[in-house]
Amino acid sequence: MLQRIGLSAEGFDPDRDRPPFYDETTNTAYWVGIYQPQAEDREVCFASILSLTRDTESGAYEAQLAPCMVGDWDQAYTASEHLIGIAERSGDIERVFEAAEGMAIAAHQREGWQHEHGVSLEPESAQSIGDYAVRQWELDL
Amino acid sequence: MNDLSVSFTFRLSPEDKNALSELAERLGCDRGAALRRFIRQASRRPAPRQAGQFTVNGRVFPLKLGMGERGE
Repeated sequence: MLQRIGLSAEGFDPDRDRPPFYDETTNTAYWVGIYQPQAEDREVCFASILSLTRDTESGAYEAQLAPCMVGDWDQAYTASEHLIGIAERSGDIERVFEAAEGMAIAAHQREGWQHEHGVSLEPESAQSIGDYAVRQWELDL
Repeated sequence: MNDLSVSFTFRLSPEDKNALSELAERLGCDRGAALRRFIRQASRRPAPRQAGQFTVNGRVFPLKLGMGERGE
């Protein structure tokens, strides 16, 4: 956006720093990406949705990871792109989750979701992602 | 019976052999490696308290999963 209107900001890369999908009704941010349990292992990658919101009472960040399908990096990347395409076409995160759940059921990942949107992250992980999101995109979580 | 040095012999139908060969070719590896990769991926699910990383738009977020309590 900045580049489109002729501005640039130091250190800002629009390809790397695209904002997450944001649902104003629930104040929740969503990223579609790839989770790797081991960073160096590109054969075991999970196309996933990371959701981030804030507890209204405590103010603490809460994050969940929804692994959808497992494969190598290229397969997980293709699945992620598919989900991003749905998000861009529909603008509706529920549609994305419907597709993601279908993937997760087929890939035997759905039974591992403990919550509606996946597996909870440790509070420190949620906090650091939340801090980054607010700093980078000034999200109102 | 937990001897990891044991090797397995099993029969594949001609169709399964062809399918495995095509899969291996697509993955750029031999048939044994293709089978091992399939088995590894099929049995993997993120585990409670597991660390890892989440990559989006080239940005990498280190993260750690929670305890695994159910909250639905």
